[in-house]
Amino acid sequence: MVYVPDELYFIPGATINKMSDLYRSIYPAFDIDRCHYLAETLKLDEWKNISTFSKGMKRQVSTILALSAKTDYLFFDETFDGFDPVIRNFVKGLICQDVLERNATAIITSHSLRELEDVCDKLALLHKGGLILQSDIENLKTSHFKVQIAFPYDYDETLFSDIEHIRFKKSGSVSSMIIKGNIDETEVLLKAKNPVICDILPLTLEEVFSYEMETLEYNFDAVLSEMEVENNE
Amino acid sequence: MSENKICFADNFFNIKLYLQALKRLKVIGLVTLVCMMLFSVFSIIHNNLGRNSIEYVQAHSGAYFMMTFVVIIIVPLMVLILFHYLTTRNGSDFYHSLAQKRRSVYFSFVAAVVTWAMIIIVCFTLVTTIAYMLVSKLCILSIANILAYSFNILISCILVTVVFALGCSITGTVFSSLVASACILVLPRLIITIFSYMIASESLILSTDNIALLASPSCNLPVEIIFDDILSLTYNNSISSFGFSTLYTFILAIIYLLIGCKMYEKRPSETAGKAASSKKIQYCLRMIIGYLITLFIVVYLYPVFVHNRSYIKTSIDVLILIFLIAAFVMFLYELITSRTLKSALKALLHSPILLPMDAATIGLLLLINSYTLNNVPAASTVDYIKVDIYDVCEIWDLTNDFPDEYTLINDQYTVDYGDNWTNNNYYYNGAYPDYIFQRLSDIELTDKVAIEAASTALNEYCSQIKKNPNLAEGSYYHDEASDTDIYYLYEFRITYGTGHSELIRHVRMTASDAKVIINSLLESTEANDIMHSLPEYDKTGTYVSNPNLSDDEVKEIYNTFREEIKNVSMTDYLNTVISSHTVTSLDLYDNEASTPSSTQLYLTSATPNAFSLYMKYYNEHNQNSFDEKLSTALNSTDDYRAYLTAYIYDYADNTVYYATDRDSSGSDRDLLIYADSILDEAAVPIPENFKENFNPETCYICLMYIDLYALYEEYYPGTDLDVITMNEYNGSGGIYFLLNKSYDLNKLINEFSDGFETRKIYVP
Repeated sequence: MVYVPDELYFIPGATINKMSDLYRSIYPAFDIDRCHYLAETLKLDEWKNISTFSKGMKRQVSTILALSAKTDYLFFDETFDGFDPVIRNFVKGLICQDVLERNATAIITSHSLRELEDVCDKLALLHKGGLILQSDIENLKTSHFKVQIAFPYDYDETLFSDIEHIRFKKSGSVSSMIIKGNIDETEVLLKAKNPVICDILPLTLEEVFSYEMETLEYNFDAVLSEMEVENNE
Repeated sequence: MSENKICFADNFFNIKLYLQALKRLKVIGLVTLVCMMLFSVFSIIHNNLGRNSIEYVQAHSGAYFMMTFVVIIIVPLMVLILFHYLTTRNGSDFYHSLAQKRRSVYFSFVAAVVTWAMIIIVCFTLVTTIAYMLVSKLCILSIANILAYSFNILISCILVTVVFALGCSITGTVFSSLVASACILVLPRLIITIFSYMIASESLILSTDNIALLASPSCNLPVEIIFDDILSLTYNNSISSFGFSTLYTFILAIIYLLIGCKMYEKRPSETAGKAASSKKIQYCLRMIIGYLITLFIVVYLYPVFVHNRSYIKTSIDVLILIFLIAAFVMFLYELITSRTLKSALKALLHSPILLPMDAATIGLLLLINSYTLNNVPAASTVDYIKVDIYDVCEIWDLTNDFPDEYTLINDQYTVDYGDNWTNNNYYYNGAYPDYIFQRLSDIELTDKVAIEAASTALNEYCSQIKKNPNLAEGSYYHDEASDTDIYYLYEFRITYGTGHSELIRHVRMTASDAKVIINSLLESTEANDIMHSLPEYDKTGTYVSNPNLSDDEVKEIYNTFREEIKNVSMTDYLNTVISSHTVTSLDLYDNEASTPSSTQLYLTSATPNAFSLYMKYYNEHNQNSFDEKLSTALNSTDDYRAYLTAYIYDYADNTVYYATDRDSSGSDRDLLIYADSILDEAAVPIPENFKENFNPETCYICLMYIDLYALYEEYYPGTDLDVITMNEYNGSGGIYFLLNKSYDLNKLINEFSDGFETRKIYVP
């Protein structure tokens, strides 16, 4: 297992070469050639003191060392925060390569769920030290979706009592709901109610996260509304 | 199977991590090694360049002493460098996330520091020894001593390494690591040493190094280095020989290594940046610091409880002040380490716990004191005794029917020495143990009578101490049964061998007990064998010298002495030396054992052939010088006193001087008054034409060196002029005068003796 922390650590006064030496002593399968190659690709000077690097460069060093370790498990803690989009995509590609070729398992933590959508197979949500949600990404996307619906007649939330929904918001005659369940079955149920408009939209991971947190009262919309009211007053 | 699978061996040690750690320390290791070697070589060359005298090199005082620098500075620094990651959260996370077991990392890093210590010690010892060998004509090395010292230094390095690793494991900042490590390394032994000194100082029968084996301050070698070599608070020198201290230090190191490993394994990453890994450890550190300060209370109160309980009331305010200081220091320590006022105030609230701790300490010490006084072996259980003699004079006293009783003279209790007063002429070279007395103290006396006397003496002495806790050293007690005062005139350190253990006690005893013991010792075969089995001149590790003679002359005299002394008993030899006025001797150095020893082999009337041979060579070497100086002096002046002064200066090469200052106060003035009165009486009348009329055939030029402490003179035969010369290594004032040869020298000495120590002049 190799771990790339959020707060990086290097031996005082170390260069990439020194760190790769250390990693070689720790990880028997450490691939020095790969390390050299990646350093060269990212244009990182292997003889320069790492403490002189920028935050992003340090994170790159840490990542290439981890990737060169060729361990079965790779832990990346907030790794992509310091990367620009180009590097980020490159690193994602390398991770995917490792996963595919060596059957490695990468565990990536991030507060930016958008990054993880196209890379991860599974997702777990942690809140206050506990696991609140764990699912396949695909499964998550298909079991959580947004519906925008309108009816020619007056209605309220009770119309959808037969459908498991997390959130219901009505604006005029158009309502939007976040629904958990089977998308096809839900579509049949909704169409049976003869809506004028019925759009089923996929959710992003961020939206899933937000809506799940809302159920745990981890939401600051009310605070924002109050502040808005005060400002208007 | 993944190539990254960690094998079983990696659970305890990882060779690659170890090599990595070695690499990380290579700069400090190599710089230290090179600097030490260069400094050592230069200092050896510098100290021996142009020197003619022989130096007997002991590891702990020669250039090898620099290795203590490795123990005290370099090794702790290396540990702090390697374990520095424990002071930062990200560093801790990194190392704790490694696939290897934590103990593997711990042992690998500790091993790396020990390896570097070993490299430095081995290389430095080799280079220094080679450097000394290049000047081998001037320096005598003891290889056994050097090996023992180097090995003990390595053991010390191991202990210091594991202690500092433990300190780093239980704390989260550099400051608290240093404090914790210092506490772990020094405090236990410091506290035991304080207790030992306290118990011994109030005990009369114990000394600081013989309370118990584990209580000796020299058990812990790094602490001995700090106390002996760095701070010069004590002198034990266990580090120069293999012994119990080596084993104890090594075992302690193993214990601390295991504890440190356990603490390291349990250590959470959150400890980084904090004072300690847990509140319990922080509490313990704080209490230890407070307890150390309140030990002053224990030091003060313990003798009060042992001897006199009335002092307590008068010093309550001092005791309260000490306690308040301790509380404040605990508060300050907590404030600095935890950086919160709330914790610091809590620390203050815990400080009263120190008081019952001190009370328990005093109770424990009183218990130990009581035990030592009651632990008196019966004579039937003692297999042998060994005797250390402190004062050589006692030998003469005890073997020459010295008077037993004190009498009241001028309101002072003293011994009526009468005509038996003598002076100690036996010279100790304090740098090394004395060859003779070291061997005497190793003799296991199995004489039942001596054992009985020693046991009885100890029993009596302990009984008196218990009856009278204020029994001072060297005093007497009143025996009600016989209604007499019994004086303890003599004190010996006696080792009682019982079964597989030894009990060491300082025993003050009466003259009758002392005589039995000393006579038994000196008359034993082993004692006589000491002088009858002197080492051969050419034996490895033996060196005999005299600054006035050549090697061949020394060899001849020594061999003569070796043969002659075989017919002299130890008692007779020592008595002759003590009572004789001669200071002619050969210096014998013996470094066969790991602890070198030396002595002066005195050439006296006990060995007349050796003595005559010595004087023959001495006179041959100095004949021309004597004649020249006398001639110069005779030609220098007409003034009688000035003549003497000039003569003395020329004659003795300015190594002695004549006190001409009549206004000098104190003893010099008395000396001059005496000299004048004797001169007036015994001096040859000054002729008008002194130089022409001075006839050395009819006079003694008496160069008598006198000071208040000793009287030296050396008989110089073999010339027409009977000149008594001074021993050339004296350097204080003296009285010189010209005496008519017909003058009664005994009368002279008797007149001098009033108020001074004197000896009879040896006249052929």
